Amino acid sequence: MQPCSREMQGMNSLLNPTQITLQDLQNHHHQHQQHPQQIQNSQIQHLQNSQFDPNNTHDDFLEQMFSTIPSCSWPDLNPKTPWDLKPRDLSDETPPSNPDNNVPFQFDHDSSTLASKLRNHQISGATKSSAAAAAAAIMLQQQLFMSRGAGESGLIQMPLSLGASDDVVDGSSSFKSPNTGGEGSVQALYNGFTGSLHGPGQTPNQAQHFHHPQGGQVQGQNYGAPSGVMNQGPASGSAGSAPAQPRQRVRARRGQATDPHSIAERLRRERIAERMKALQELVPNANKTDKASMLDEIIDYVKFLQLQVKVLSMSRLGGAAAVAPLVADMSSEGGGDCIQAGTNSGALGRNSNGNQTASSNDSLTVTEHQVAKLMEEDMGSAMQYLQGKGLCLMPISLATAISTATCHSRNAMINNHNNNVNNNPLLQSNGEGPSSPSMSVLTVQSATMGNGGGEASVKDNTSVSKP
Amino acid sequence: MNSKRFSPTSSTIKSRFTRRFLRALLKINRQRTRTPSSPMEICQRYLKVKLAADVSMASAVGSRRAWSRAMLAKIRHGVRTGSMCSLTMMRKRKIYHRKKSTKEVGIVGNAKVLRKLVPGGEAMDTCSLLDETFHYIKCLSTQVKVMTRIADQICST
Repeated sequence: MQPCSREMQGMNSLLNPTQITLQDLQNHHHQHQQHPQQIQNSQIQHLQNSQFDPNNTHDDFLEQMFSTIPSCSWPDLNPKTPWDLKPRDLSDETPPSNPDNNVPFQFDHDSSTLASKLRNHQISGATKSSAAAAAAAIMLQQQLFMSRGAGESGLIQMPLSLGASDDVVDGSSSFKSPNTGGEGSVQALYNGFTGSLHGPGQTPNQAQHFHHPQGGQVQGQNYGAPSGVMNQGPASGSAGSAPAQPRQRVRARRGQATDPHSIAERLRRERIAERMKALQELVPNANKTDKASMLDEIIDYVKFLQLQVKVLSMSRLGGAAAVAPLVADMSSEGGGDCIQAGTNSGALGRNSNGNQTASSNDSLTVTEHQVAKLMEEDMGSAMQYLQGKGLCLMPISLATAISTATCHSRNAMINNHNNNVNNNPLLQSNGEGPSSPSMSVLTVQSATMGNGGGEASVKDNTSVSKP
Repeated sequence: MNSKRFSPTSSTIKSRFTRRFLRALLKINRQRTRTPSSPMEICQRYLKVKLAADVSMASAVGSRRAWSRAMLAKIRHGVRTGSMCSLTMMRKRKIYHRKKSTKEVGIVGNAKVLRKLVPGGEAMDTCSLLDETFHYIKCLSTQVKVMTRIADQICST
């Protein structure tokens, strides 16, 4: 109750001097642009410290506030309602505004709809939302500015930097300022506002201490301003839907909080979200929408890549001797072209290997039986046997994963061999189906790998080299 | 990829890694005295190759990334304390695997697992962890591609 009465008195005191300076506003175009915020703040302080009439109700206050709207001569507004009321303290100021009603103001269409929305809100408004309605008025003004293509950030910042109860004052005064000369320019509005602020000759050295939550809200609103301004158009309808907490004077825009902690939290969350999106493009099978399952996929992919590196490094053991000519070529050509050539020849070699895999099936089954027998006796000997063969055991799921993951890049997996005698080390994993029977065995496991889990040997179409 | 082929000072991660890795492989090959038959020797050589791969990848990336710095530090530390230490650590890990009955679910749990996977991930907040993961995945995939090509080259000729 109290703040509203204060606001009303403040508005009165503000509006009265505004009347006086109306004529001067056109002349002051660029003079008072420097410190709008301090001006507003000091103005607010001044208003807040004045004596107030405790008898004023919220509704009267709202009516008075809306009375200023038609004084700005918005043609589509309900013209008769505010003037039918009894603005007790503004009676002296309303007549001068009346002639201004005839000034044809070219307001945009949406501004009138906004005004009607504001009116509706006021009709439905709760007591708490008087301040909210004031903020809505500010937002209307903002919308107005936006629709006019006001590029001045200072102008838009101007209403934003105030707390809600103080917004009313500024809102009303800014509503007043269009009266100046029928100027449709934003510049005039802005200057008019600041001019009016200067008019009453308030003392700038009023105590700048807002009470704490209000200061925080001012800051919070400032944070929200850059993003909030952009949302102003679509979010204008949110004026009526934002939450109005008892302590908060500033109405939160839809989906945005004004608490600095939550804003920092929101920034952090946004950063995480954009990184997750970037990761989504990198990781295959990234069609998950849930963050937790996306993280699961990422983890699996990292594990898989690390495993692939291990596998590939194991496969190098047999072929390290052949690296020498490769490196010699590399140093002369200085690039990856020999590797690419290697890829081409590897593909050719692979194709020729397809004929040989069929013949090795028999040896495969023999090996399998052998390994199975050994496994019953002693795991260690089975592993040694396998390693002697240049093979190893791995879980089927892993082999599936590896074969499907690399099927898009190449069509073969690498098998380890003890030496480089035979040139048919490569396997054909078709990769079309995830569970294609032609899967390969990879040499991953060694005694120190530490995977005590269940292993199954999947050996199909492997070609084993003879020592 | 193809654009840097003929430039002598190619600066992609891929080319840097390739060069370093091949040099390391050559060095390992020179060290090899005889064909290793025992699993232990095979294992050791595998570890050497894997280490070479990791080191070349991390050094190719340089110190720009936290994970490469952490990986290099870990490798240097491991080299200092001897290579046998890594075997004992692996055996310890085998024991610890049994205790995974209570799994943490949700984003926090996944973030913890990710921290263990990515080198140097413990000392990061979630935001930079995701950044490092992104870069790490990119480097790992280039590593895998290069190594498969090398393996193709070796095995086919």
